[in-house]
Amino acid sequence: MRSHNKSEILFKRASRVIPGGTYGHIAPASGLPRHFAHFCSTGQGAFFQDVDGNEWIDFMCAYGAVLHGYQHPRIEEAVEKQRKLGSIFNHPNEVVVELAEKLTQMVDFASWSVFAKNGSDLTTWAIRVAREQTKRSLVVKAVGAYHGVDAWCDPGLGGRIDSDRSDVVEFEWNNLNQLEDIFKQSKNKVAAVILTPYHHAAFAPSEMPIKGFWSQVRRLCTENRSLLILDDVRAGWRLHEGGSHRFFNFTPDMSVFSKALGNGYAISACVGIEAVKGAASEVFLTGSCWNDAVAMRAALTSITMCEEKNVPQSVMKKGQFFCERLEELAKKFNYSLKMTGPPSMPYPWFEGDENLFLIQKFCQLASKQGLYFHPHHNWFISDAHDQKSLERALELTGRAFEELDSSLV
Amino acid sequence: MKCLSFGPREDVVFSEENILNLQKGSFALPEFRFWIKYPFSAFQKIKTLQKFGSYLKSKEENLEYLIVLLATCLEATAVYMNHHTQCIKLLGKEKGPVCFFLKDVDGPLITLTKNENACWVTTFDTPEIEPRVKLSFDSINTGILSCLGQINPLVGSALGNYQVEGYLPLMDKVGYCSRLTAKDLPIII
Repeated sequence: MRSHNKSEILFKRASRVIPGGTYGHIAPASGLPRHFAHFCSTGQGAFFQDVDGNEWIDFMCAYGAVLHGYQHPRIEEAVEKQRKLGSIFNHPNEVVVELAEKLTQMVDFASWSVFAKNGSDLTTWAIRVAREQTKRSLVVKAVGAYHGVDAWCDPGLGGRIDSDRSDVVEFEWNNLNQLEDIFKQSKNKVAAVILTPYHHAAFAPSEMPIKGFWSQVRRLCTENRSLLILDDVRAGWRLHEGGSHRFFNFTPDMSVFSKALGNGYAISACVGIEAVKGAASEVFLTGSCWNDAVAMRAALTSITMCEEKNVPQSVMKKGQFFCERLEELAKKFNYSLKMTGPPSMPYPWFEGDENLFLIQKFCQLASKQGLYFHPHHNWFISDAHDQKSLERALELTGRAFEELDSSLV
Repeated sequence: MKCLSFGPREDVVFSEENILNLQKGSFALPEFRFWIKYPFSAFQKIKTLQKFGSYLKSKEENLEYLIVLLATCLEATAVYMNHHTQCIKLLGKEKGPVCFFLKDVDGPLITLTKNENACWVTTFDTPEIEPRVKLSFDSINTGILSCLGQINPLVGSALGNYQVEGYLPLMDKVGYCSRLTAKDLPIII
């Protein structure tokens, strides 16, 4: 029996001094509060330990922020060297230029880069750049898409006023007619369309773009002189080493990266085409600790490794192996489980389980085996998942299915 | 003047001030122009209201008390879910059912669902379709404290005061509407 005593004590302490104990996407309420730990202590490769010393085979990778595995030696070594030199100064460190050069070299359409700490910092900033460039106000996004914590798009319920979203229009993912209608009805008003590379909403199966989706979106944006912003925060470096637009074969005007970029060190980046470089320099952007040389060194090392080892292809292959085996295993127990979305970041979906009771039960039983399977969010595969850890995970999953079977009798 | 009506025929209508006086045990008259239409029915409803008030004030800790308190809170929440602009917007096309359970007690204590007239209502019947989301209190006391707004929803679920299963975003929305309701309405028990 895996104990959660320390985790619970720590959570009680936290709830006295932190609203809700922990908050946002890591708040226990959004997962399996009685089955997952509330606090972690350490991680190595594809594994982490919670504060009670329970070991987990991790399939969330810090919600995508860890691509090469926890505490990857090469990244940690580079980080340590930079840390000895210092991180935040009155002026940026040389590494900011190195990182910007590297990104503009790796991302084919990019002629400039800027940096911040969080995905939201730059999805919101990119929209302001689009508004500056086009002198228009409307932003188009997909229903249910997450682009960050700012008031124009956050999924929470509190603290909103009507004007927060008065310039945001939504269309159903893959519904090109709806998107076309928005452009017709709001002629010369759309500053930007912001989309993720594929639709990875929480609490729902992932949806890949239909054939021709991206070419049509690109066409509509170009014809209407609106900018196309790719929110590659979650998928970036897990689909293609040059940005997820390459995986789907289209060209955005700006792309925003974060999560895997720093392999766990807080950094985000926005890259863009030459034509919006002027507008980008007009929109104020700063943060006291945003020129963080340590995080930038981590990012530079992380994307260099992506390029050298083609990590996106590697995690895709590992994911494919794992997802196929998982679906086969489910079938053996007479469950129709589909691992939706790209295999490197799959979302599990049991057919007919619209209200999510089955996936919650399955993830709960998997947690007893030390498997960190999230019931409502896409999972993530890291390059530290090797054949041995994936096979071990599949073996433990089999036990979870056995228990699921007997619990439903 | 803000008024509150009981019954589909507006049998009895109180001003906001008078309904609060009634609950505090003071004398309070309903609005005369409605009352004279159905005097007998109005009188019965006033008596029922008084009974509810005095029962809720008894602060017992048993299953019956929890059910009455929960029903009262959810009825008030349902009014907001049907008529409050922000709540209507939040809930969008959601229909429920949202079922409330007590650990180790069979069947839901009460269910919140959208009826055929697209109105959120509470019912003691077990829904014919699978609940969209279920909330289960771990004890009667937890249920009562939750109704009185004395349990932080994020902390409560993490510590096992209650368990939520199913489509959690709907419970988030219902919870938000209930807190909005509780902020507006005084808890006088």
